[in-house]
Amino acid sequence: MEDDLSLQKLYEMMIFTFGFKVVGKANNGKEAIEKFYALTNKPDVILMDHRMPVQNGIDTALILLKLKKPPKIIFTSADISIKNRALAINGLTFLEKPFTVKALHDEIIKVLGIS
Amino acid sequence: MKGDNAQNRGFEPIIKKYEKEKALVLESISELIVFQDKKQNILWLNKAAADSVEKTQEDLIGGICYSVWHNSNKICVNCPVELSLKIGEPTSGEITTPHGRTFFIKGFPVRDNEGEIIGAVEVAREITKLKQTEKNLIDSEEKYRNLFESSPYSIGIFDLDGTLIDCNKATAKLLSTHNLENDIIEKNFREFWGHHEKNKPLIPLFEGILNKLKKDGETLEFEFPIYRSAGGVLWAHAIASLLKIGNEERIRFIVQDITERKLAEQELETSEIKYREAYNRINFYKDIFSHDINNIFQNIQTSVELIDLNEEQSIGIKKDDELLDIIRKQIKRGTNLVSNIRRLSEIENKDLTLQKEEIIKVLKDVIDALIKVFKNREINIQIYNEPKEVYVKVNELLPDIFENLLINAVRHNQNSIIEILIKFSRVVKDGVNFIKLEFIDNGIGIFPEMKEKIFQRDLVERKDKIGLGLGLTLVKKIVGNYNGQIWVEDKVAGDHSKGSNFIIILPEEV
Repeated sequence: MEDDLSLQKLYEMMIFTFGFKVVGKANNGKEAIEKFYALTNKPDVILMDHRMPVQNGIDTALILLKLKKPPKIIFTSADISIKNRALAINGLTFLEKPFTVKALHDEIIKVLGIS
Repeated sequence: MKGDNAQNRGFEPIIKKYEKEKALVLESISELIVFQDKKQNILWLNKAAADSVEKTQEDLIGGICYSVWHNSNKICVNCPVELSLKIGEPTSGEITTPHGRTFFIKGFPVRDNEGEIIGAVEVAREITKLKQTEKNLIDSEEKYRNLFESSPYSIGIFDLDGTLIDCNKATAKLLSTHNLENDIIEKNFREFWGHHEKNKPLIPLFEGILNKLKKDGETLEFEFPIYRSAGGVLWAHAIASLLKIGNEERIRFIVQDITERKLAEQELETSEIKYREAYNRINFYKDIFSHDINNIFQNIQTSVELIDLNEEQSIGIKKDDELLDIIRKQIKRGTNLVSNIRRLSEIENKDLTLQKEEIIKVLKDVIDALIKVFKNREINIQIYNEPKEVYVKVNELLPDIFENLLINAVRHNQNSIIEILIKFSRVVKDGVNFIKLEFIDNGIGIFPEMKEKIFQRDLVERKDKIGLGLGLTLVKKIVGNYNGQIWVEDKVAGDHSKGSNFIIILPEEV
């Protein structure tokens, strides 16, 4: 979930190199929730930006984390002011932009519990 | 005759009795009573008259009035007795003796059976103490009147219905009137506040004050503006309290002109608002800048890392050109970000002079530059109904409007071919001729709830909700400075997903 289209593309490339598959992309929180419900093959991890039009990342995460089987959510934000709020939410991890390819890889591995 | 004498002798005791009674009556009167002949020789006087000079009646009979009471050998000036002798009518007046004693004197001419004036009766009452009290009162009145009039504060005494009974000169200055007597004294506040439309709200304010004073009796303080007929506003601080004058309840207003203090407060407030806005603006710029620049860095860093990984480990991404293109665009994006912040800061901090300019060429230059920057994307820009020349009053920031709108149309577009239609038309609004430009794209569109927010001026509000950077804030600001307007509609009404139509109107210069 990212409103910067070039970053969307780069996330897709990185995830591809990690050997994972992108099952859906969204430009804002509202679209992300709609897509999440619509997907048959639900994502294990969502990379989520915070500052987006229509609905921001925190509000979206709070909705998704209430689900019976919530996805793992990695917050990827350049908005440092939101870091503490995000980390206070159970089930969220935070990657501050700009982060390295390795940092994203390690975070995904960590939240998925893969050794 | 004999019979008459006998009769007279019979009345004698009765006459004596009457005379005795008359003497008793005259003696018991506290007023001084003196019977004088035409030359003011004292023929008779009562005890009070004799007591007034600490003599006996017998001592004074045969004396001369002005000699006894005035120690003078001349008739007193303005003597009411002398006047009554002259004109043959009762007269009255005040006479002050050389010893400082003042008498209120009435003179009554006395006539004989033929009507000839034979003398006068003087009835006098000493009013020395009364005169002193009166003088003291006058002095006191003068003293307090002097204090009242010389007060720099306006002082007004109203009755309980709000009619001004008295006020000092400072009130004239406060109410901008030269004639207190004619303009405000004995006028009700409802009347003099009613003269100026902007002072009419003072009527309910003063009614409230009066009612509260009548109910609670507690002193009240309040501030209010007075609009002057010559223009301008004066600020006043008033203390209103109940006052008892005799048996009457009154209301006293002491009013101070606090315009200078109020203006200083207003200036301080404006200054505070200005600095608060500046502080918010700086925070906003700082926030947008750090957010956007980190996104730009993320793009560049990831692109560079992916290119490196591709070279080192052959990770299977055959998109180096695409990654390089991302880097180029992000560098341009960073440049634009810095430029936008600088532009916004310029607009906020100085008055920009506008000049009549032809805008078609400016638009076309921006389009050419855009095509070059986004050379890896297929962009199709059409201009519809293009006029030969269009003049508007603008400045060097005009290209920023076109650049920001066109970059947004490209950046927020996922189609393989980016379609942008620029439509020209003319509209008249409120009697002003405007040139209307529509930038219609096939991008991702703007959600209905976002259409106003993307231009929102409230920086704090924008911060958490919108990820569109500074571009549209800048555009709105510039368009506003050109006395124009900007808004966004759906390309296809009711379906935002088909793209946006950014509409600008600018006053056309002929």
